[in-house]
Amino acid sequence: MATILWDSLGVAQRILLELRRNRRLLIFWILFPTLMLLLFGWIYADGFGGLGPSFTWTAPGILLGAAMFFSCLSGPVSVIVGERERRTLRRLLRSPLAGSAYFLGVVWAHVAVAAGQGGIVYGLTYAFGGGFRGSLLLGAAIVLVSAVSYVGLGFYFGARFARNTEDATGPVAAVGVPLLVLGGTFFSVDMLPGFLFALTQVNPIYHMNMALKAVARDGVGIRAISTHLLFLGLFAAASLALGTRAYRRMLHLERAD
Amino acid sequence: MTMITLRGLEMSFGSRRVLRGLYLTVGEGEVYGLLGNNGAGKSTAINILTGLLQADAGEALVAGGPLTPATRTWTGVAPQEIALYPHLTCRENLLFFAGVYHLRGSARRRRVDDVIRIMELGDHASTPVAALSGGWQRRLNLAVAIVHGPRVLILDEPTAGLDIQTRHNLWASIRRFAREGTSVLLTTHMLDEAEILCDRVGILHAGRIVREGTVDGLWQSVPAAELAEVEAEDDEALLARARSLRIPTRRYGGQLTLLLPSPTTLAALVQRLDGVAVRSLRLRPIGLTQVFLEATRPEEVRLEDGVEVG
Repeated sequence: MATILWDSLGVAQRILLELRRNRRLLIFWILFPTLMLLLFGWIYADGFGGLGPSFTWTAPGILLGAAMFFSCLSGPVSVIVGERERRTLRRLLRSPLAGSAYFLGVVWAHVAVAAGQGGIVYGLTYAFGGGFRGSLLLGAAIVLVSAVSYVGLGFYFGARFARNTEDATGPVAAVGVPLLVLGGTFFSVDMLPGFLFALTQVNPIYHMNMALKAVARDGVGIRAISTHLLFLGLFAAASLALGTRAYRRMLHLERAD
Repeated sequence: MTMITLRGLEMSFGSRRVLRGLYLTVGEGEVYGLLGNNGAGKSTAINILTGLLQADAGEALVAGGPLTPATRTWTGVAPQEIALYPHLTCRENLLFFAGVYHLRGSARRRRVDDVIRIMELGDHASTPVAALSGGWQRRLNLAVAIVHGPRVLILDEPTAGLDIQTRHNLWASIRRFAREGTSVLLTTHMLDEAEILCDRVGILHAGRIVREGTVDGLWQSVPAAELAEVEAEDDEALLARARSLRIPTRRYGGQLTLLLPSPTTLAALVQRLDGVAVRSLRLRPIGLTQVFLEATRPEEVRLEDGVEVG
């Protein structure tokens, strides 16, 4: 167990180091949520009676939707595709590195990225007079479960559909962007017509947004968001299972390649 | 002690049989060269040995046992393709892979420093892999394979595509590992590499070893003491003359070659070929090339009287 943990930290460190070197992607991951937060913060300022409340309302959706959607969902896809293209995956398969340690390492790396993005989003929110009213620990737990859900799905898309970088973006955009729109990331789901609103109830991004918004804006406790957390927990477990299965299948194909 | 054993390996991909009962062993500190044409099954054998593929039949053993996570920690593999992280420096790549092989803390750093020194990577230790030339990348590819101090080293065409100087430097490194007790199994289709590096050589053809032994010993398998490469005005006349002299003849890549039963001189040979218009004639010693060509000749051109015209 200790070996798996150490090995996973090594994998995470390597992914983060590569990310630091690949500045363009890092800048994009910082710039995109920053611009989206500023844009929607200003758009909703009149409706919420000032920049502070507007940023407080907007920040959770931007962090979970705009920021982590791209980093924690597309990130693992890029990692897996990169390993396959560079043939390092085959090298790792020949090493004593356990598959679980590799999987966990990818999760750690993207949770760290999510934490950094959270710092940027809430740094800006505080700078514009907004804030985070509820428990930071509960907020962090929602971010963690959301990151795990995204990474599991990222593994699934990366392992199942993407053999090269070109393949990687299509499925994520095709499935993910409608989920963002239906998840209340950029505007309230109250605006949706009835049949679309019903769909949001099975959309994990909706539950992420609602849970974090309730904690960040209204300062509610764990009981008030238990339904959202339950859904998210189940979804995280399902996405991990799905990702693991797709990853194992991919390893089988990679061995035979 | 036998460090690598391949026993009766069989492998098919669909209807294509790639390995048909492959047997070989590599002893401690021995360099074994697995030679073969493209598609002969060299990489398949390596992939089975390193756990990437499961053989249809037979077994692959490292130090007498099957490959386990424990034996993987002292087995190093340098794949044919460069498999490195291009955004990381040489040192960072080595540190990562040393960690993958369970080296930790100061032991990991010390070992990486040692490998950088051994592989003469010092000037490039802080250079990202993407900025290195192909030769340096291949050198690092090999360095990664030895970063954890393996007792068994498996090299799949380790010097493919390298210039002569870099190849010689890598050969020197591989010889050093063997002297220090590492068992090396390398695949190559460069015969000079096998001649210079290997204690023993196995020629893989059609999925099985068709010749095996020391390089010197393998030369004995060619039925000749010396070779004469001949370019004649009329090949048929030359073949007829050779047949009458009972000198076996081969056509190696279009070049008619006489397999002389005893050493001779050019003058003596010209005299024996009296009546044949010869454009050029060259005597050459037997090398691994002839051993290889003899061993991998298609069955249909092996004629009973030793004279091959196909």
